[in-house]
Amino acid sequence: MESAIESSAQKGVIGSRVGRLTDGYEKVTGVARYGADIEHANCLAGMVLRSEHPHARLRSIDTRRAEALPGVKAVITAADAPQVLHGFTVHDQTIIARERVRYVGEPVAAVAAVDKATASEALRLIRVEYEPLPAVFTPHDALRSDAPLLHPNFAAYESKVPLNRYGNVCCHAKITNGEVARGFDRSAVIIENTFKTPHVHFGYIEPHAVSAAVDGRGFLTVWTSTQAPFVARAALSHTLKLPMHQVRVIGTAIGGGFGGKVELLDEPLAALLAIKARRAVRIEMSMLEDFHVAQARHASEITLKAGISSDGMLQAFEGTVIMDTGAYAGFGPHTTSQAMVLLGSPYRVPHLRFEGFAVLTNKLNCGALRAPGGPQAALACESTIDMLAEKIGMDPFEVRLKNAKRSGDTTPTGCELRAVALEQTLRAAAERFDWRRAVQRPSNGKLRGKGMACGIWGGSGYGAGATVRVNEDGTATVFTGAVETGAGSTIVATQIVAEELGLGVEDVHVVCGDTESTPFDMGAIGSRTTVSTGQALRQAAVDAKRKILQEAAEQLETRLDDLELRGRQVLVKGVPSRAVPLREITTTLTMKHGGPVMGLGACVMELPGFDAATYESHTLPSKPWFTFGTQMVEVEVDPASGDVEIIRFVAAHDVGRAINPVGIEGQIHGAVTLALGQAFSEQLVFQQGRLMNPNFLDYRMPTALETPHIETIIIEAADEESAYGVKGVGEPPVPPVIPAIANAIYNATGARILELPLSPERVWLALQKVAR
Amino acid sequence: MIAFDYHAPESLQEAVRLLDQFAGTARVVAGGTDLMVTCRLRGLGPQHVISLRRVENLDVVRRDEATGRVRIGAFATLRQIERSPLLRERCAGLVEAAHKVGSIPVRNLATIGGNLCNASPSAETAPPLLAAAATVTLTGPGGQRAIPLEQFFLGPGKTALQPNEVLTEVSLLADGAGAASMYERQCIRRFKDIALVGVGARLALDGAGRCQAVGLALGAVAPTPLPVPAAADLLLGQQLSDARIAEVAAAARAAAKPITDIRASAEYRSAMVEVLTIRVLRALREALRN
Amino acid sequence: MSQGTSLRPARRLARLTVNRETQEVLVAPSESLLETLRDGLRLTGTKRGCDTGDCGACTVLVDGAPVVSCLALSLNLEGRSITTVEGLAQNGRLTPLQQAFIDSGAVQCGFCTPGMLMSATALLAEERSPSEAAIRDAIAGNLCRCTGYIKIVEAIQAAAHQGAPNASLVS
Repeated sequence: MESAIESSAQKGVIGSRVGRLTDGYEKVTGVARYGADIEHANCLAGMVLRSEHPHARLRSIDTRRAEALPGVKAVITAADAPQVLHGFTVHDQTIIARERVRYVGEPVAAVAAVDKATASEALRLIRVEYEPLPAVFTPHDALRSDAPLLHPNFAAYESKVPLNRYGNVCCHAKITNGEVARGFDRSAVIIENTFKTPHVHFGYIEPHAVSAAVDGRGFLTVWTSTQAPFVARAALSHTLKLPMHQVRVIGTAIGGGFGGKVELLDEPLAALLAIKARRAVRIEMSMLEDFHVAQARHASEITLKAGISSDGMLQAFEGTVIMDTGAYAGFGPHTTSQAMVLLGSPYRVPHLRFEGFAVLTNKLNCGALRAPGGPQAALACESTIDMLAEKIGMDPFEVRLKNAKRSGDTTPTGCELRAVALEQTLRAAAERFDWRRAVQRPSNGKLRGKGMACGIWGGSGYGAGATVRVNEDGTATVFTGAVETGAGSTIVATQIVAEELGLGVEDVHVVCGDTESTPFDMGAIGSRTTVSTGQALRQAAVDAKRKILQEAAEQLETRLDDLELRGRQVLVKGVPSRAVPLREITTTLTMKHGGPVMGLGACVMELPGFDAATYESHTLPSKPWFTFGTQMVEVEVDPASGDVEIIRFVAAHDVGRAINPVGIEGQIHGAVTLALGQAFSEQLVFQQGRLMNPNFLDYRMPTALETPHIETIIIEAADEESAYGVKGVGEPPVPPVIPAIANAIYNATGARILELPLSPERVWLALQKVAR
Repeated sequence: MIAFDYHAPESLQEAVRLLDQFAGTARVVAGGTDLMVTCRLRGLGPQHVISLRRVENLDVVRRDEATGRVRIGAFATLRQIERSPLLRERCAGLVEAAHKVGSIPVRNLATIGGNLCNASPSAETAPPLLAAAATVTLTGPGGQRAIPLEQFFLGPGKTALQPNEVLTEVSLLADGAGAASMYERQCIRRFKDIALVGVGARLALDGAGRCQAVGLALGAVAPTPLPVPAAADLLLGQQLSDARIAEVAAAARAAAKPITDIRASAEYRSAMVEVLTIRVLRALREALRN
Repeated sequence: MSQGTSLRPARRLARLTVNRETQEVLVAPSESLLETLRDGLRLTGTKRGCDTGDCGACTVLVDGAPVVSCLALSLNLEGRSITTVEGLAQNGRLTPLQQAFIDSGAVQCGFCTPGMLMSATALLAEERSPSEAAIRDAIAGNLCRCTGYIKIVEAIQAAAHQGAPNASLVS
């Protein structure tokens, strides 16, 4: 189904529908090489021994029997690793447990052996003596004054951002705008609710897999299915104390990342084993292991008090955000900070005060799952809007429209919003969905209802470089550090370069994700690739184009301004007869200089200004770009069982400029479906710090049978700061999904559910309460 | 990692002899789906696996003309069962249950015998089989014995199968001539999932629309799949009125002994026994009317 | 059930037909078809996802029927004909289904793609023009986290409309 594109932007290569041009053939034939598919001569099988305890002191580790087992080539423990701390914001963890384990699954030792069976046997022969320590499993327990501490002195760790930290709190953030007391005084209706969401797994189908090899000089190469090879290289260099020129990271094909393949997991262990064994080592996690040690979406508890005047204007928000971040700070300070910003960003709220706590518990570390903090904040914010609307007797669409942020407004931290299209997405969704139409009441005893939610998302910036080499024959080869996660970044790269150089998409080849042969790029995180890498690619292509046109201007004895590149030719404007094939110019240029025609590009999206007086201990006061969307859903609820079926789903999202609509639709479909899983069935269930459902039988992701049609509407409100006006789309469709469904269930049944997942049992229980 | 040895005897007798010889350390494997999952997730496995792939005719599906019952070789795959024209016509409840196990690539391996021998309380095929008065044939050193399916299940993962016996055939009452069967279940994920509660039922009506024979059984609400004859018997000789159906559903609920686990609470499971029983009986009434 | 033995029963030669080629492969008695394909034959197009039959990434065809190779014992498949994703395209020519996956954008990360293709190939071999419900049922055992399945369903429909045979499944 093709999307409606609401813009009259001119169409060239940019904006045309392109299928899986770059990576499709290899992926449909089984040729593409993922993390576990990389071949090495004499490769050893690596395996990791992981903690069975949620919190314990490591009294001793005896590896002698494992080392003596025939076929075992290396065994490592913390004693083999440099004494270095690392972490996303706070340097609070080691690559392998040293003295203490803080969650079930934390690496304790690793082995490399001739085959998996031998490695597995070796793990069984390692004797670890644990001294169990008191543990904390919920933020509430962790926040008690007498709670056992996960880290005896957390505040002493190095942090990249000044954070207010104490006890088991790794970040206590605050945001204040205006005076909430005054806002509540002006409110006709004030409500307060607490919303809870569980831990959620990334759900990629490829478990983590890495291999490592060292050469005779000890130079290290690591092949890993990472979203961010340069982040991995920096982290490996830091944790292994190796200079960067001795570390090469090659990003393999990735079987899904969604934020779960950014930070180091087994990469440094594979490297240490390879260094010790002097042979290539491959570590393939089982899905069982992956569930235990890969990061998760933060579980949250958000309390939001909100006031609205009788004419439908929001007056005040006051809220507390608690994120359960697991054993190490990880992405916790960011997720907490982000959720606080998102809570107060879609709508104009003159007075607000938020406090946020990222809290350490003896569970797996939490990371940046596609839109970290987004669904948690949106559930609270968008449910609250609907509840307020009902209390003052106004349509929730009208309340949203009245309070929607516009261009020039700011986020709660004072960051200015450009090219805001929230209103456009609201109107476009309402028109397609026919929001005013009354929902049909089915005759089968089921209940139907409609719901809506909006969302804001701020993307990441960071650095991106790109190189474009125009070959002698006029074709182009592009080098970028941004890996192809499947989101289609290489297709977009092809389109951008083809557009600028007047080529067809089939004339461009993209080389990506190798720290040795491609320029720096921060990686496929924060919906940034099309925006940041796209900008760098455009610059690089324009740079190459300038060199080509300069040469052509000399040859043709014309002014540079009179030349253009189109259809693999250099054209003189207005004089078609003087066209020269591009290959003639590029051949001449290459021969003349003895080197390739290279264009260089680089980009760091500038961070808009923000107001430091509005916040404390907050890691994300500013983001380089924001975008908005609106989703509307119709559901049918079976009151007897609590089953919820989606009848219709409309998603309108502003992408600034649609470079490849096929890819954008795919991103919206995927993001919505990922959130549908969290809405209805996905949660990691822990008992005393132990994961009870580490498999895809009891961790239920949507299948083709549960997934609805998703009607996409692409809005193009160009951002003048980015190349072609683009905004990212990977994460933005995630946050509104869950509240839209919760609002629709309420509309259908009168049951307001504040906790996820909206499983049949939870819906049924809520309906029992309504009935009473 | 689990390592076991593999044997593929040429005959059933040879298989039974090997089972006898390995005295409790061997396991018969059909599709192997449950075996492999147990090895992976729980690190448990037998020392010997005995495959009957060389033995023919263990997956035959046929109607016994003498008794009118349907007989299914224990090594028939669930995919074979859901696609068998005979079973689609004569054992609708079982076909529905087979269709709900795993996915097509799993059902192409998994067999009905394996589903029963795994003895999961939530085994999908068990409730419709129990409702259709199924018996199972066990083959051991002394020959064959047939027992009612309800005596086969002893507890979660426990069956009446002796270490030297093989489950070789399942037989059940057929639909048709005023009889119909059905299976319904409740899950967390709407389609591909395991049952939180399953309800299998088979009804035979006389010419006046009164219930002549009734079978009703529940899944996932007791340590074993659970026939509920006391509830079923409330229908004997009765018309299928809404009120009577509600009474039966309440009795089924009373007979269920569900537990609370990570998948669902006992309270929800109890309530769903009633909801699904009503749904199944009403649907059967509808089916038999046409 | 006993704890798995640490004795390792000897590997033995099994005769398997993979992608129309019959070969003798050394196989451990407890080895899954997935392990034999990936580790033994280095046919890494078949993916290891969950290894418990729940994700479908390892789906291959056995005598034309889709099967999760992670739960199939290799020795149980002696004499059977196995088709993996590597066996779909012949002489570099993609099947209409493979081409439709590329054209429709049904591939994103691509990790579910091999299994998805095998399930859909089996469906199209039996039904020339399957309904959307039949398509969704056929791929319900193949988890995809990227696409929401929408473009995958569209690609299978597109391939079905072409009417051409999608692969010879059995040698």
